[in-house]
Amino acid sequence: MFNPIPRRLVRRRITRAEVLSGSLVLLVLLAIGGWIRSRAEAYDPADRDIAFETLQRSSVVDTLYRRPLQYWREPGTESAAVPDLGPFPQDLLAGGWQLDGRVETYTPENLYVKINGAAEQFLAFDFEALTYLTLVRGPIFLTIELYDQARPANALGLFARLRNPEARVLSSGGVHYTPTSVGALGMRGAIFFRIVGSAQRPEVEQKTRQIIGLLAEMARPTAAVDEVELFTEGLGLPFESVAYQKENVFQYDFLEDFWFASGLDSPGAGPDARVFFHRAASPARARDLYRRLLDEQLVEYEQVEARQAGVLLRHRYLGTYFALARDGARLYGAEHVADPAAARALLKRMKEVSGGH
Amino acid sequence: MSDLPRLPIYEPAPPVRRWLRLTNVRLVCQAFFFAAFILAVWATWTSRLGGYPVSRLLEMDPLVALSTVLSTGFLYRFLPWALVVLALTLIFGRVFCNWICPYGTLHHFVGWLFNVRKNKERWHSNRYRPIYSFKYGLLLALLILAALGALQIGLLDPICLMYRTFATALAPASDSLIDAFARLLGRFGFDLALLDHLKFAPGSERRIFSGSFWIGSLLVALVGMNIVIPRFFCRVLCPLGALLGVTARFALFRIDRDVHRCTDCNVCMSRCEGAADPQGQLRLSECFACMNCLDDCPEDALRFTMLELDRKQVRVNPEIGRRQVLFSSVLGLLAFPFLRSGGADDDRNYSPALIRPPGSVEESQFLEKCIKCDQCINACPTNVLQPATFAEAGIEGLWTPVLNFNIAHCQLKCTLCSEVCPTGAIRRITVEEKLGKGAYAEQGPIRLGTAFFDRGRCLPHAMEIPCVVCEEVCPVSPKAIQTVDQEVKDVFGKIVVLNKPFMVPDLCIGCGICQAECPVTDSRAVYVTAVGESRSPHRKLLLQHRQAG
Amino acid sequence: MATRRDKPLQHPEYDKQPLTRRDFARRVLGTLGVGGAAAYLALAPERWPLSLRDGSGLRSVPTERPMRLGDYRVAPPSGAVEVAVGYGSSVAERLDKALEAVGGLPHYVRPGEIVLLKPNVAFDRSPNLGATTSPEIVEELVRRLLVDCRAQEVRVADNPIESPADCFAKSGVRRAAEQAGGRIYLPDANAFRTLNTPGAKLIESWPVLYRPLSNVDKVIGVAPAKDHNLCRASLGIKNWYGLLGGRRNQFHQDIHEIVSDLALMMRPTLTVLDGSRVLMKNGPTGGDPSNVKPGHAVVAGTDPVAIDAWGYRHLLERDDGLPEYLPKAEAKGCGRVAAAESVREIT
Repeated sequence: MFNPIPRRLVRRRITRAEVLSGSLVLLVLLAIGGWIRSRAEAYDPADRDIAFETLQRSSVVDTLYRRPLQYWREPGTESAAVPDLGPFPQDLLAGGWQLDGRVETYTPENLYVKINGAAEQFLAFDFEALTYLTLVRGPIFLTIELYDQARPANALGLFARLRNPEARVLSSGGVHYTPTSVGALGMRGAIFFRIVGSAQRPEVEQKTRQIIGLLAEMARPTAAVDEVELFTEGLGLPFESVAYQKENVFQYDFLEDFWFASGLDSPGAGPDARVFFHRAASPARARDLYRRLLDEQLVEYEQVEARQAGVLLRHRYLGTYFALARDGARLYGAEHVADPAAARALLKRMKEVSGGH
Repeated sequence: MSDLPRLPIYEPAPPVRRWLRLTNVRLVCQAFFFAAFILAVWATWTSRLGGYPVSRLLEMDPLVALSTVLSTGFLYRFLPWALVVLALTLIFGRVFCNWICPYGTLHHFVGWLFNVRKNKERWHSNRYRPIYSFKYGLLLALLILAALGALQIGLLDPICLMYRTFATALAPASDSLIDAFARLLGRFGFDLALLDHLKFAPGSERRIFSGSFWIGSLLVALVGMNIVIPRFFCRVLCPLGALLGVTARFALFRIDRDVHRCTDCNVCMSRCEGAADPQGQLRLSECFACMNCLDDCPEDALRFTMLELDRKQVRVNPEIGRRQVLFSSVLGLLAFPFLRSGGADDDRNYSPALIRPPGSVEESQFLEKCIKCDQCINACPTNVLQPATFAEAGIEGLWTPVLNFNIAHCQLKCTLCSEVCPTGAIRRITVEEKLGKGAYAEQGPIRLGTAFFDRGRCLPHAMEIPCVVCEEVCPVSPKAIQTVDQEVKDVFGKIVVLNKPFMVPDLCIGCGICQAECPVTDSRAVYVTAVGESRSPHRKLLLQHRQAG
Repeated sequence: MATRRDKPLQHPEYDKQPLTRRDFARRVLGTLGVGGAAAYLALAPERWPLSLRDGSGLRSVPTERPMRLGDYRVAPPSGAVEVAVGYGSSVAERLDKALEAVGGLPHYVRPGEIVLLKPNVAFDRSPNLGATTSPEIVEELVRRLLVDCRAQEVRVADNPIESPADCFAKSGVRRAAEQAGGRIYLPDANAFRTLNTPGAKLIESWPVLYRPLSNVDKVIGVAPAKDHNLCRASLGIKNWYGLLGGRRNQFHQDIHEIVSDLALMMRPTLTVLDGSRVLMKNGPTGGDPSNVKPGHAVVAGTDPVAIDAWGYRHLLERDDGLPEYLPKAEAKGCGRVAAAESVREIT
């Protein structure tokens, strides 16, 4: 298959010149080899790159205009001119404010997407839903967060935790709030809300007031009776006097979920007098609680009178009066009242305001 | 018998002299330059390039130098190195062909290896044939073509042919064989890293080259012809050999036959590589100076010398008739308009796929300069550069480099193709110039073309499926692909955010990474076409590049 | 005419081959043997040994036995936190502080082990553009692994988007790793194998960069913090994207799912998030110095989800919630978002 004839040398004469020139060629080859070798310098990445300083000098600032995200709008349900404001009326956009993006809602499952890290405290208070929206006017914007906490008690608890304890709580039409430098936070019924503006501006302040007004006008988001209103609206007490006790009421482990109000202005009530209110799950449950509470109280109290309107007890040592009544599923009464007449009057007023609901 | 004059009898030469005789030195020299060539191909890779002069064999090629001078009027960068070969030829004749040329070495080796002829047949196969003058006609036609502006020498120039074949056919073939071997070894738990050094393109997945089959087949066919006619390519086709043959007429040294010693035994023809008739009048233009005839002469009648030359025993000019010259000239003159009538260099009917590497000069100049050596293709680290087929570049642009963005993209901070280009078809550029930074801020970045979206195939545009790989990979800052973000309810009732991409042609540099990474893999939803390439003022797309503010 | 036939009709050297009985039998047996064997191979039911039958055409479809990745996690020692952040003026200082707080590197890597260090070198960019893991931290880590932990081998591997050789060279990672004694693995044709990740939604079976992972004992991811338009951020978990092969660009159709799958696919020993140069915008490619913000933090730890959550908020300085892939990864059991609250910061 391959060349069968071996290489051969037939001639006999090989001159010195030939040998010398042959050696010379070999030397030249050696030199070329050395030169090639010398050119194999290490590859420095910077050789085939651009100097960072040059990049810095000719740096381009990205000033491209980028269209904002266009949200999905169900066709036919609304016209483009009227944005969906969720629970708010269109008045929300008064004063040249516009909705930025759209109204977003979050559930306990995805709340962390919105407020990562702080979600825990809302979830601890039975968080149900967050309605979130941003209003813009020129360079200023303002976000509104409405947290549905299922029950006024939760909203009150959150509010108490998050508000500045020094700040005064204002009330208006069932809305209780403390203004902040760029907005407000507060509650209405089971809703805890927070309004945050981007700047400390009169427009923001004005808008915040308007939003609070709208919140007061809006239908109550949850159907449950608002215990806070019972005291503030019904009895005309300041918001700060309203308190809520989740468990261990009167040091009894069977009593939970009671509302209190202090600072009563009725004559003869005394400085320590408090009214209380509780809504039981059913009238039977209320009756049961009523009886047990009465039995326990009789250890320290003696019964003064028992009528249709309720019972009146007097503390054996302190001499203060404790009044208790039941109306359907509702328990209410007063404690630490100085004067029995005042206790009876409180019981009567409580019946009026709580029965109204 | 006894009254015949006695031949002078010499002692056989001592071993050292035998070892250092010219044929041996020639073999070493051939092996050296072949190895140097392989080294050049091996080192034409991003992690190895360093400062290796990987294209020097091309830059030493006098045909490359002469033809580009004819077509452009100037000598690019390292092309004066051709003077070295020119000088060698003027002193020693066509030594390049049998001492240096790696393609000649390949033919020589294969021709020797498979030569099963008997001695008599060998003489016959090494006798001069009239067909051997074909190369001169070819050279003439190619040079006329070059002078008119169409450089086609690269099709048959042995160095170009060799580089091209290695880059696009043999190197990938060798790499995939090594990969298969490595896979086999890996199954037995061997470490594969050592094999990386044997690979031409280590650290990359399989490289592909369009038309590799034809380029490889051309080599195999030409090398295979050695079995029919020894050194077929070198004797019949090689235009570089023809040029050197014409030059060799001025050579100082040549084979000289001592007619008084010669017994006309014809043994010198048995291994004559060039078919140069050393047994008669030496054809100087055909002689490769392989020195085999010296070794084969039993009478010591042949010498390679510049002294006391026998003027009668040489034929200095190539045997080419006037008719052949006329035919070749007419052919060259006609070929030019024939090639150009397709409009390859025209700005009206050019192919949108004709995307040239960064730094390429304007197309008609490119065709004056590109020798199709495909060194750029060899150097390309991403495999985006491909030898052009007729579809992209027409007949004239066959095997010139084009970018195929379906395969890969042009890497932002890479200018290797411009570094290795021997003729300046891809002008030497820096990364700074490529990106239009620093001193080049005024002229802006080099644009290879412009990307377009096929919105009927784009996932977010046509099918409401999120995607935007193109935007993610867009390497310019700010990105040339921007998105319109939109929320839609898809047919399955799910609300999805679609980032619908669109082009900002003012920022696009045509690097093609969007096309390369587009998941619609057969016919891409985003694709780059040549329009807007910055090398040509006539293929602009935008009147001006808009700016923010 | 008969006289013409003076020579025998047949050539005298003509050699008749008589068919003997023995010959006949041998041939018949041979034919039966070869024919029978061929018939068996061709016709035997598929379950029989050596059967070549493929009635459905499915037997000839090549199947690759998928491999599985180990679980490379190591619990932090008692008294150490899961995730810590080190601040300081130099990379070494930040790294030391962060690693010290999670229990020290030698707790995680034992002498004689093979460690894969996975940087992000996806692009052909110089290190100061923030698109790739900075070479300083790679060098520091490789050196600590080899010197402090006396690891047998430290591999550095990635499957970049651009040319691997260029990306490793220009990002400076190659030089850094090799100077410190590490070994670079580039993704060549033999580097990929199908990986099976049970529980993953999109990459249950997908080719990954296998060669550097074979025989590896520990895996450490070291990622830059980058902006990413679609995924919102490219941090520690997205770094594992660089191990995927195949047509991985289709994953952008569900980026958060794939990134959370990645957290499931790779359970690294440690994740290191380098906040030395944070790519604040125009990610993940960057390219302009104005996109990069210098930082002074290194985050290290065993909870990749918490690391990403912390990095998103504090390195990329975003307060628009978290990328969706993080809760998804948490749901797949790869870490806890809430742990980002209890990250220990050492200044």
